[in-house]
Amino acid sequence: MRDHEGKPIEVFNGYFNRGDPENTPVDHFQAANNLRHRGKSVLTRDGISISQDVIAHVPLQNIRRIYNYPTLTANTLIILAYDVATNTGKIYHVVDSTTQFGPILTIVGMTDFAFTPFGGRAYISPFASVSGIEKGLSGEFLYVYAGDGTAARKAAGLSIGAGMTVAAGAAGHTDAGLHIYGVVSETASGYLSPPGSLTTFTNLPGQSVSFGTIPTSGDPNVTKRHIVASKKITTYNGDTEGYQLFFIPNGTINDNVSVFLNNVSFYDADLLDDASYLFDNYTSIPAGAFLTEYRGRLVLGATFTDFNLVLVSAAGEPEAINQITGILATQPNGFPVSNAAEFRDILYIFRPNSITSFIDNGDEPSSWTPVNLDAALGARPHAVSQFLNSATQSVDFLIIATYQGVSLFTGTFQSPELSWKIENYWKSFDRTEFGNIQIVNNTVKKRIYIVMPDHTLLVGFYQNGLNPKDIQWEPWTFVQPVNTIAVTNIDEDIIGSDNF
Amino acid sequence: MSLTNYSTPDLDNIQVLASSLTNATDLGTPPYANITGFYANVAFSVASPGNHFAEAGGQIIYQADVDHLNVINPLPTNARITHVDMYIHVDAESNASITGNFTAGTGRVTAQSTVHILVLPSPVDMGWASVFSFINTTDSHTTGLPVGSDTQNASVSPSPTVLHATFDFTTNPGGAFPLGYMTYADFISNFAQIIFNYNSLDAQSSTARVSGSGTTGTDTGGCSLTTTLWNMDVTWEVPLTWTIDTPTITLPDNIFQISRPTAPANLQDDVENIESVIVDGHEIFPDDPWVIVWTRVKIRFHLPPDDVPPTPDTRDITVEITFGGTVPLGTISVVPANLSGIYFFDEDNHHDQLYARTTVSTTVTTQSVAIPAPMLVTSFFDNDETEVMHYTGIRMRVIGAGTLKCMLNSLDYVNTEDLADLTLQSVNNVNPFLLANFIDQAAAVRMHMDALDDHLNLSKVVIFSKSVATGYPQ
Repeated sequence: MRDHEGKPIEVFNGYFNRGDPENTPVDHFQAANNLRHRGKSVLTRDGISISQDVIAHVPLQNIRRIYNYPTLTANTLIILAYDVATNTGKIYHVVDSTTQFGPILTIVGMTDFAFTPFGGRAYISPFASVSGIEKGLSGEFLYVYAGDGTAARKAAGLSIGAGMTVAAGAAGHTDAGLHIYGVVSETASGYLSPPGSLTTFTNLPGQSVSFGTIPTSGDPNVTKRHIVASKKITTYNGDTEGYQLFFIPNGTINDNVSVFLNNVSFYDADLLDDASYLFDNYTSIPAGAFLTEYRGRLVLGATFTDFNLVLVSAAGEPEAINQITGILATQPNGFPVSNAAEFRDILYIFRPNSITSFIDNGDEPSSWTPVNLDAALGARPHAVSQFLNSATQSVDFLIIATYQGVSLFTGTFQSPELSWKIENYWKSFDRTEFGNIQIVNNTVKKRIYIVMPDHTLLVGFYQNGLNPKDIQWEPWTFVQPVNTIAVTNIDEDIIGSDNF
Repeated sequence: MSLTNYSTPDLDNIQVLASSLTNATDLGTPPYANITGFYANVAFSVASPGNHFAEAGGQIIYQADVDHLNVINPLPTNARITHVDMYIHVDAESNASITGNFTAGTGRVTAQSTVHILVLPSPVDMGWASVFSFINTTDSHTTGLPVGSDTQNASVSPSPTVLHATFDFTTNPGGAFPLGYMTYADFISNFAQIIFNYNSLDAQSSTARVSGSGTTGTDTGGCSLTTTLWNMDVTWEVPLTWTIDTPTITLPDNIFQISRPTAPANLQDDVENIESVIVDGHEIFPDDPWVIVWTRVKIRFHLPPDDVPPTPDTRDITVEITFGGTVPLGTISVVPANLSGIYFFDEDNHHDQLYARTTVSTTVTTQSVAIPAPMLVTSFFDNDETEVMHYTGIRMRVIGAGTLKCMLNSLDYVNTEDLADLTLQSVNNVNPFLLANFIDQAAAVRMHMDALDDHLNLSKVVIFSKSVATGYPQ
């Protein structure tokens, strides 16, 4: 080469955009597009293929959001398709390339939705972004979908109607004296309604009680009804809701059809299972901008009427949210609560610019003490990495897309951020568009996928290590705009595209 | 008096102090040579007396019609200088500065660019009045690049007989990916604007005030082009449908052309050209000696002596030139394919397979398109101890399929050198070498691919360079 010295590049560490292009290290690219990394080599990115069979049915279009939805038997997808022309969002359940249910839910104005699986069911909350603030849709609610193709229904429910009669039954045993009786309905998802059809009856000594004209529920999802009762009331003040009620042993009707239950015997000492807390539960849970699960409780936040509101259900009962004790106290700071995640047994509530933590002390959520962790960085909806079953734990950290960059969160944000090498690129985006960012982590492929505000993908390859120095960033672009991404079936990456 | 005596500029006595102007001499008959690189602020100094205009009160009439004019002060983004008339009044053998009228037009390109430097004696001595310039803005063959169109992706290449407009949206020098790829959404947005402006017309006439001391009349309007033959090529890689009254659609690579009747070989023979101009009842013909330029897009002439007021006076004259006829391009209806849907990543796939709903129906087909512009640009190679390097080539360990296109570029892409295209092999015992001859302070290697199923696996790049100079000339 006539005295020409050869200068090799044998290591390729991805895109670098920090300062002038002349500052790009020799092992990085000052510009890159649609590349991936394997070992020390750099290759053209994976191509994409259609996910739905065009012959089996008409594939979904105008995709806005996809989540991985683990049912009792498989990993499936739950998908929002939004029609701009009619301003209507429709949610579908896609089981595989040839099987699709829905729409299971159709709501005008639903441009996005929050989702969390619970016991094989899907809990869905429709929301939209209004002036850059994500919050639940006005006049909308939390919905539950059974996963079987039937339409989603509103979570929780009203109490059963009036009309039950109580009379002395055959010879048996009860504590004689005035008692209050009522009916609690139970849905297929295990939701218990507030007690209804309350009435009084004076038990007779030596005799059981019989219940007649027991009202049925108009909700077709009700599968059981339970009879509840108070203990003997010495001085009755006339308020049927003013006394503690309990579930009667053997007082369950395993259908929503029968109208009588005869000859039930019980002592007041047998009444142990409290039912009074059901009076204060939401009968319709308002929609919010995020959903998550924390220690068996459903967490919902940012309702339309109060974007500071965070609701927490009873443990094991995702639809039982007490209107008084099921509220987490978060101090307003002008920004809405926007996300929540459980990490190392702590619940973190995020705003775009702050984080507050809570620990379940075993008591009502309203008694949990808030701890403010960060007053500068937070997370918008979809900006906390999700892995496969929609839980957030990936080894020992969360990966969060903040205004500052993509960061590891281990209880505090690690510095420098993972996106240190591409700081100029990250900060070139308008902060008002960060609500469009979605981040997911494919731990098998060792890739972080981030849907960017310009509807492209930013991919972080961490095969060499998940740290700011060794991570390899690559922008991926597509002919069509990308709105959402999910990881399903262990390591299968699914993207959803919109129309122009 | 023949015009040619005065069309030769006497430049011996004009020293251009600060300009990169390329001077035009006897321009002869059309077509005129393209002159570019003209800078508006030019200072002249006039040498000692003895030339034509040593007398106080003489004028140097500097006329320039350029196709692209750089100005120091920023203009609105959609404004371009279509022509400049400037006048220098020299009151002594001293430096003179230019003042004049800058007229902003629309569009980017005029049909031809000409620069005249005419050194004229005092018009009074010659019995001629000032030069009147009328720029045709009513050409019925409407604008090539309308306001708002993407001038970074569109170019117009005028020639004497053919106007060829090319819109290539597969490269986007100023876009998000330098020398790379434009998004489909940008294309749809740009093309809609082009369609909107195709049938626009503009008609103007003007009135000029003439006085004995010299005044020019100018008229401006939309950019106009000779469109005797107009081809438009559009290249795009995604499913589209087009309708046009005379469709010449080629799929699947989505290139189409719109052609109009072939022009005569010489513009002067164009049947739609203007045959005569009447000024205050006085008819002027293309071969009159006082005519400077006579094309369909521009007519410039001196007022005939008979029209010069005997004494300094001010009166209005009216010059009206009308052009007729229209050349509609037809109706273009663009229906972009609906590519939305659910996709999964396929590591074994070297292209993107998309849903293609090109018609309003429930039938959905699929189409394979190339992965958009896979590309990389390495860091810069330089030498801290040397100012100027010579780069002789690059060697790579790369396998794959298709054509790998490489380029060396300097900082900010000021200098670039395209290297030979490299056809990749799936297996290869030789690390290919691409020869280069690039000299600059620093160089980076840019690689990209742009065809269906092209893919690469790059493991090593070696760039060969040596120092050739310790510094640039001062």
